[in-house]
This record gives sequence, structure tokens and C-alpha cells, in this order.
Amino acid sequence: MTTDPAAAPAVWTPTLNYPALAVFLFFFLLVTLMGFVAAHWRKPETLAHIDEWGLGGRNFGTWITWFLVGGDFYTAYTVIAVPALVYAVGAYGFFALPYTIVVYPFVFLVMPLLWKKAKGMNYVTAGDIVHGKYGSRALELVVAITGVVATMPYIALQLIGMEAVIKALGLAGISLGPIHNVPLTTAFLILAFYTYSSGLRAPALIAFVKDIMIYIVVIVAVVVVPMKLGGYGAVFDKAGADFAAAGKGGLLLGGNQMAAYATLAFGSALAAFMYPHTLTGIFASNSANTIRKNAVLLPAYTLLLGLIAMLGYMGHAAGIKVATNNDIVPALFDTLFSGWFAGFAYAAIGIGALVPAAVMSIGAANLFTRNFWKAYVNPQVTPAGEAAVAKITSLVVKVGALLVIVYLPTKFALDLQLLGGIWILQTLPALVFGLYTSWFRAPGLLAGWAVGFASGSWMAWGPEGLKPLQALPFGGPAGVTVYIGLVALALNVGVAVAVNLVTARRTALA
Amino acid sequence: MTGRADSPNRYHNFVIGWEVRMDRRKPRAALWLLIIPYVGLLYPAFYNHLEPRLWGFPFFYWYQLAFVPITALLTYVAYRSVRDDD
Repeated sequence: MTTDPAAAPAVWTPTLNYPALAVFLFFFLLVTLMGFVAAHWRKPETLAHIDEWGLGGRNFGTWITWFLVGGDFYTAYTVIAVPALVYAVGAYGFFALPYTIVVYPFVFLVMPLLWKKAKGMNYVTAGDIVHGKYGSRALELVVAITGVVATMPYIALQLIGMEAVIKALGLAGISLGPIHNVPLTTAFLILAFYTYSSGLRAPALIAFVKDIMIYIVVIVAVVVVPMKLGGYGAVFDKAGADFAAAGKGGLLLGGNQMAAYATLAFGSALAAFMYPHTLTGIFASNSANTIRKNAVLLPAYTLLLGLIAMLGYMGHAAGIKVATNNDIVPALFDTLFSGWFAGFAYAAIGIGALVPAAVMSIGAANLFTRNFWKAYVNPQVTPAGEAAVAKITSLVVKVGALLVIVYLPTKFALDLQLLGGIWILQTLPALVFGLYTSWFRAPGLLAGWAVGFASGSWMAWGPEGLKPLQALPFGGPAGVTVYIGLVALALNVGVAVAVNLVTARRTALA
Repeated sequence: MTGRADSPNRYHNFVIGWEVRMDRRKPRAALWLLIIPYVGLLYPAFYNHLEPRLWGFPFFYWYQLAFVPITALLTYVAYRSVRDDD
């Protein structure tokens, strides 16, 4: 440690960077154009049908699905937040890597069956599948509400990712009367309009650009940055030394972190494809085999994510200090690369926020339309009417997320996202168990959901804000700390089985 | 309220489903390969070490990164065994 203030690295502050801004604007305009043109891409007879607007005609083959689900699942927020966590705490932040590996065998085994149900019965959402299987409006409604509520903060997180690159471009402080952050608002309104007009075709087409840009950025970064910093050995050594000096974090997991790491990875993997945006990508594909092939091919993005996580350590090796950890990736590109390449990287991340945000709003809009509007407001609604309702809903959902980010503290969205992950996992029994067995019935699954939802929320409520982990009083002298979502899921399944046994016996007696 | 979509005779469904599963048991053996990533990755004590390093990467990192192509390969083998199964 040095005492000379001149030798201490200054905290990174973004400045207006014209080459970066020019490149960023070029790519942003390009994808905006693509977003509107997408309405004519693989043109259907009419876009005024929920299958066309909301699922792209259920016609996406292997490559479109690969780009769409890849662009949708590995979000801009991932690119910002995973390196930020790794920068802050080290090995623990890598749980995203096992998470996005073990998710694919699950996708391979479960999602083709779900797709077949949806295709055969013209289902659009998880709520449709649950209603079709159990005939329960109540179970359908809680699955749909859980999906919408869990998705809203996820959209808000994409805005946080976008905010980080707008800040890096030096544009953060622009306000116009009551509208804070004019660039962010503008970008999001443009997104809202082309999603409205083109539906799922817009993010599917833009995903090609976004994913190719992200691959280029990351491959360049993981080759060039270590060359500038003395190789991967040096990067790890410097990061390890920084953690040792800070007395916090490390290159390996602490003894009490291991169960947390494994359960977070497993629980997140089970939850990942329960979300409306990932399910929308699944239902939009053209066959069960397309999904199986994607379970083989999508891990390419996981490799990319593992390398992106490494950017957190590169931040240490480059001696970068940031005001908030979410600045680490923009700061790294700003410090080590020329303006135009930094702009290319920011554009990749910014566009990376648009694709998932669009699919998320479409997924949420489909749920509202099918499982609320059609179920309660207008059961006679035509497919064209459904498309109209869904289009309006997607606008409302996006504006809602924008208001949350612009006017509420960031922590609100982060907390809600954490709860959303726990909540969406509680829909798994209702959605997945029925694919394999007809033993469960609606009352049991409904009771299980309620207990999982309530107990998960209660456990997450800590004295210092929300927390994802809970210490259980067994498995060693100090107990074992695990992901709350999985504990709540275990209670959920236990209650579902118990209630099912009791009600089954009653029915048999009657 | 609409009724259940499935056959009311759940026992019948179960028996039919079970017979179908028995018929397909042989090609589906490959599906058991998909357990390997869960076993390999969800017990971190097994790989929470710095040594041996590979190209500067501590074991913890290259071991988990290596599971990406391994899992893709295992899934491909499983895919080969069920792809005609639509």
C-alpha cells in the first residue's frame, strides 16, 4: 500500500467521448431501423394475430432460436453485473457459470415436452398450459401474475445496464424538465414503438446484430486485455492480491460459501426457463428438435459469459477503481481501448439491453392477454383482438419499468428482481410436474405455490434489506447457508404432496 | 370451470405411459449422461482449489469452463438418441 496520493489510482470518471458516441449512435440507429423493418421479415399474412405478434408465427428454426434465446437469456445486465460481482467478491460471483451450464440438460429434457403441449393446443403462455392441464382458473391466474411480477423488475434491470453505458458515453446528466435521463428515456421509447409494431420479430432480428457484436467485443477483450496486462496468470495474481489486501473476497470460495454457490446455481437454473421471456423463445421455435439442438448449441454463450466474468479480474489487474461496481466493464473498455472500440462495446451492451427488454415485455403482455383479458374480460376475443390487447400491454409494461428506473431508487428494482427469482421458481411444480405425472391436482399445487411464495418472501426479508440466502440449522456445527428459492420450492412441493394426499383421500371416501 | 383435459382414468394413463417408457428404455439410456454436469458442478468442494493451473487459470476456473464443452457434448449424445422421437 502506498501513502503517496499521486500514486494511488483515481476513481474512473466518464467524459464525453465523441468517437465512442458516433459508433454507438450508428449501431443504435441501425437496430432501430431493423426493429421497424422486422414487421416485413418472414412476412406472415397478417401480424394481427397473437401467434404472429407474440410468437413470431411459431416458426423460428435452429439459428433464429439460438440468436433469440441467447440474446434474451444472456442480457445486458449480465454483462454489467456479473463482472461487477466478480470484481467485488471474486469466486462467488462465478456461480453464473455453473448456473448457465446445468440449465441446458434441464432445457433439453423438459422444454421439448412443454413446446409440444403449447403447439398442439395453441397455447401461448405458461398460464395457458396450467389451465389446460388442471382446468383451474385460480392456478392459471397465480402462475400468470407471478410471471408478470417477476418480469417487470427484470426489464428494469436491462435499463440499469443501458444506464451504465449511457453514463460511460458521458451523457448521464441530461434532463429536460421533469424527464430525468433523456437519452435512456428516448432509447426505451423507440424500443417500445418498434416492439409494438413488429412484435417478437423485432428482437429476433436485432438479436443477430447484438449477439455478433457481443461475441466480437468479448473475444477481442479476452485476447487483448491479458496481453496488455501480462497474461492470465498475472490477472489472477493481481486480483488475488487485491482481495487479500482488502480482506474481503478471494479467488476461491470460502468454506461457508460453497453450499450457497451450488444452490444458487441449481436454483437459478431451475428458475431460468420459468420466466415468460425465456418461455416465449421456446414456444416461438418451430419444433421440439429445434429446442433440443439449441440445448446443445446454447452453451457457446455460457463460455462467453465465463469469459465476461473474467473482466472483473481484469479490472483489478488494470488497477481500475470505480465509484460503483457496475462501472467496472465500461471503465475497463474506456481505459484500455480506443474511443471507437469502446463505443462498439457500449453499443453491444446497449443493444444487448433492448433484445431482452423487448422479449420480456412481449412475454408479460402475452400473459396478461391470455390469462387475464381472455379469461376474465372478454372470453370471446379473437386472435386479432388478442394481438391488439397484447401490443398495448407491452407498451404499458415498458413505460412502467422506465418509470421505476427513472423515479425510484435502483435498489427497489434489484430487490424486486431478487424476490422475482424466488417467486418464479414457485411456478415450476404447476408448470412442469404435469408433463410427467397426472397425480397432482390444482388444490395441492395452489397450496404449494402459496406456501412457497409466502415462505420465500419471508425468508428473504432480512434485517438489513433483502437477501437471497438463508442459514439452515443443520449440516454442520455452523449450519449451512443455501439459496432461499430452493428452500421455498422444497416447502412448495412438500405442501403440494400433502394437500394432494389429503384431498385425494377425501374424494375417494365421498 | 372447465374439466380436466386429460383422461379421467388416471390408472389407465399411468399403465400406458409406463409401457411406452419400457419400450423406449434402451435408446434413452443416453439421457443418464445428463446427470454428469450436475454431479460435476454442484459439489464445489471438489473443485475449489488453485492448483493445478492451466494457462494461468486456477483449477477452480478452468475446471468449470471445461464443463461447458463437456456438457454440450453429453447433450449432443443424448440428442442423437432421441431426435427421431417426435
